[in-house]
Amino acid sequence: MRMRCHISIIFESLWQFIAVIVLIAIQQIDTIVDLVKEVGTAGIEAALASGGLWGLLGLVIVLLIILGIQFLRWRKTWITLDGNLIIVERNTLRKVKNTIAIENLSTVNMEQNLFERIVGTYRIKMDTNSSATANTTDISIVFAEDRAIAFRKAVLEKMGELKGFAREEILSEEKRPDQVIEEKRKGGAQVFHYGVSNMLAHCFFSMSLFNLLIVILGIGGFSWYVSNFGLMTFIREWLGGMLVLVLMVLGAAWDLIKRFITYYDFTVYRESTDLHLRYGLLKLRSYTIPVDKITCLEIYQPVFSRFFGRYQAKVITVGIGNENEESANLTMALPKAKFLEQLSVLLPEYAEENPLEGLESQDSKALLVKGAKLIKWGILLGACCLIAGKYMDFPEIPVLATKWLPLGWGLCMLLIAIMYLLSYKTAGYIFEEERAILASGIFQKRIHLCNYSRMQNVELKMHPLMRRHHVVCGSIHLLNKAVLIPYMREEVAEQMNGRMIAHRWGSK
Amino acid sequence: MENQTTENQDYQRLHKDAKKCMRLSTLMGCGFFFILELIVLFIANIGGAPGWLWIALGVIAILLTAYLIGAPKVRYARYRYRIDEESIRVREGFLWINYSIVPIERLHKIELSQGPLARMFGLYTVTVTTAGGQVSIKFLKEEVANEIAEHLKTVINQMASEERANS
Repeated sequence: MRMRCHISIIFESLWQFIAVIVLIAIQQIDTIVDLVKEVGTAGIEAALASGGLWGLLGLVIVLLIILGIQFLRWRKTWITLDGNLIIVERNTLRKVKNTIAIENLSTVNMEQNLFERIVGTYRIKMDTNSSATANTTDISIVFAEDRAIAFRKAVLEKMGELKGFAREEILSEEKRPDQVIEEKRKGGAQVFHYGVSNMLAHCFFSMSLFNLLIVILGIGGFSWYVSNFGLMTFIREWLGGMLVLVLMVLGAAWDLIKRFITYYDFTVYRESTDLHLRYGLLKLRSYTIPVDKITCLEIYQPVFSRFFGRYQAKVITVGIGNENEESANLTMALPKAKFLEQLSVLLPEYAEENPLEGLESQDSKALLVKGAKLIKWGILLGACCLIAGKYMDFPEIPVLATKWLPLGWGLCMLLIAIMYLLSYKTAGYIFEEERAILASGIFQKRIHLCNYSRMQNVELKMHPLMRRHHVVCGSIHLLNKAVLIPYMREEVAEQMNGRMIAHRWGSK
Repeated sequence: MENQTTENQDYQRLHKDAKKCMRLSTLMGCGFFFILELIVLFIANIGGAPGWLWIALGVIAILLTAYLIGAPKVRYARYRYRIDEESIRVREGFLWINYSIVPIERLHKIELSQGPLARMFGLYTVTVTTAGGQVSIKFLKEEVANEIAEHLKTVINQMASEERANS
């Protein structure tokens, strides 16, 4: 199969440039209308002589040149599916030929943004198991709907063949991903789908405390001021600040709404050794993740989830997470029992033992280390307050040095102490036969389940106080992520190192 | 990690030329900050330097001198590496000790390099790369660096052959 991308990719890749041209045109609409009138009355030569037409002509020529280059690039780019290989070759001034073995693919994903939905195309993104290209997409191509479905089907079937099992029909020639999911559900497969109410609950349990505070304080502060002093006073006195406030509040509120739009209609099911995910309102995303390409499972509890006992999980794999809002969530925020039930269906390999219980707390020596860090911060902040009190002149606030600075210092120290205490309570670990389970966080909690066979290398570190008490911390380096190791005894860390060495890459 | 005595017995130390190289690189680093201090003093002297500035610069100068004298000795004494059939382990640092462990089976690439300062002492760096990052063994004499690189290549080839035979 030798193919080209859909021609709409030319316009899609230039949409920002075209948008700028359109904006300029709209801004200069009066000038353009005058020019057209001038051409109509006095003729082109007169318009050229007056100089007005040259700018417009120049813009049109630049646009045509850029479109021409993109057209040539599209025309000379070929995608070939040749046996077990995918070949992408571009024969422009700089010839490039990428040959990728299908067995090295870690993900085969389909996406459809608004433009693609209008035009009727899908974007297929494929990534290999390579750390060198872990932060970019290896292959990104746009096909018409039927061709995209057929291409993805062919690649997935080949992947199944190479793994040595007969794959069921994943996608037929004429069905879109959402139609397939409907079929699976009717056929009795366990498909997990989240409706609007589930999504709203997920948005609530996932929201950031910081963003919520900004929205509440921003709106609350604005309402209080306007009710006491009036709107005109607010605009007169706080015009500059108002714009900043509006932007901050809108930004924080958008962050809350964005999650709903990103994960709208979230659906996930497992078929044989692959996980299939689908979500998105404005940009539809459809992911196929081979389970053997998963480097780590992350169980995540934002602040509100932690408070209300909810959990969500996502898989860490090469190829997903390169772009904003790209995430391989397995579940939305769920209560514990439901979460474990869903995890045992989707990823039984990681749910043999309850990963949420049995974690050992950090060594008590970790409290000593954190105490020393607290003293360090106390001295640094105290010195800053002393310097501020001595050298900064605030005649209108005479009590600054004697009252507010010490109070501020005290509040900062209290906050830091609470954060250290929370991080101590949150962190934990357990070393099972096949994997390490590591928990970390302060207000949020993250639990990482990493198979020893997926660990690439480990870095441990200790400063003089830690060395004295034989305590280490550090990080485990995976293919595309580094997982924090909480404070633990040296001999415990060495157990983990030994298991990492004993487990070969690619084994369970 | 084994206890201190066993751990040191299993680990290799660096050649004594490494200490000279460390001293020279520390001198260059500290020299830069000394020059910066002189510039600040020169500028401040034009308008009359305040007392606290003299004190601050003096403290920094003392700390830099102590670091220049002590850091290379401590770093050299602490630097250890161990290569066995299964893993590479490197331990180094001054205030913070960093301990890196790499299973040999995960290695993708082995690189031998030599910086300009190290060239003056005939020292090399062996850098091993995995899919998750890289670890370096620095300040090695040429013959030791070549020996390590050859040994790692042999072990990797052996592992690859065993894997082919098993599959």
